Amino acid sequence: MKDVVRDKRGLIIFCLIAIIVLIGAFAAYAATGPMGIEERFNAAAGISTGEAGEEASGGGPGGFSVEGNRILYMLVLAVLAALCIAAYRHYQL
Amino acid sequence: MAHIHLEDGSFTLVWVLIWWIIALVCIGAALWFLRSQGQDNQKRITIAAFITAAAFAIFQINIPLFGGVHLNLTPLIGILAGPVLGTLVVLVINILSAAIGHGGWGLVGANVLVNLSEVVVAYLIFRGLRGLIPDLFSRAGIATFAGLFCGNLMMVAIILISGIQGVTQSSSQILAGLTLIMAVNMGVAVIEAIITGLVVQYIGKIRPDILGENRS
Repeated sequence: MKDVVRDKRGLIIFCLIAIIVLIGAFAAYAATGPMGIEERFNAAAGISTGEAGEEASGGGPGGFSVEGNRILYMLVLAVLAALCIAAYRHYQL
Repeated sequence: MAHIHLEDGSFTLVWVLIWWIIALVCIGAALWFLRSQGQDNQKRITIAAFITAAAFAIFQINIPLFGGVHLNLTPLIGILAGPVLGTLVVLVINILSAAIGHGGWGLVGANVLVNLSEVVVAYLIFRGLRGLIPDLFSRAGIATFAGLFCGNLMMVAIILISGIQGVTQSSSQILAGLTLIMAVNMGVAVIEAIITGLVVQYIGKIRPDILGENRS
């Protein structure tokens, strides 16, 4: 019996963790209800969805909003691409 | 799995820069370490490239469980590529994800740190339990649970430290909400642990050298 427990020790620990974690997950799911990932995050953080939410998350000192701004989005992507090319040439990859 | 799904502008610019700088320090250390090792890492770099593609693809798949979640495969990245290459892998995945609108650009630094904690903890647990748990499936699974748990803790810590702009919720209310997210995320960690366990077990059978295990 002891040998069996020793051999299966890892599996027993794994199953115990999985059971505990699943109980917690189902309890949390029951408390929050069905939500998408971002919806769940917004609800947790108190950010209202839709236009009001965009206003709420974009304001404040030093705040900025890239999402939804195509020019800024392309600009960031272009800068990253340029940095990759520079790193590629510099390190002669 | 743990990933800060907030829009750009949720954190102040100061905190965006702080998380980016910490992430860049980690990336710089990883690059320095890789260069100091010279040509010894060719095989691991190839593995890292494959796992980057696989993890990025699975990152974008919404699993209709608990209302919608996605897997990360970050613990598998840690186990197969190690923490040094894993740092670069999570950076690439987060940048590509932000490029297609999955997570904001400003949050890439914070998300790299979240994912990096998963990579490092999974790697350490997988290696550390070698003597105690020889079975690859359960050891990889336990490492996955530990990694993802730490990733979730890191995610909650970063959000609480940074604060969210324009919300009226108190820190304790945000913590309560994030704890529920963490619990749901950990439920999905079961799937990720099983997938990681099976992949590691299979690799252990055919190529134990990739895992640094001796063929028995």
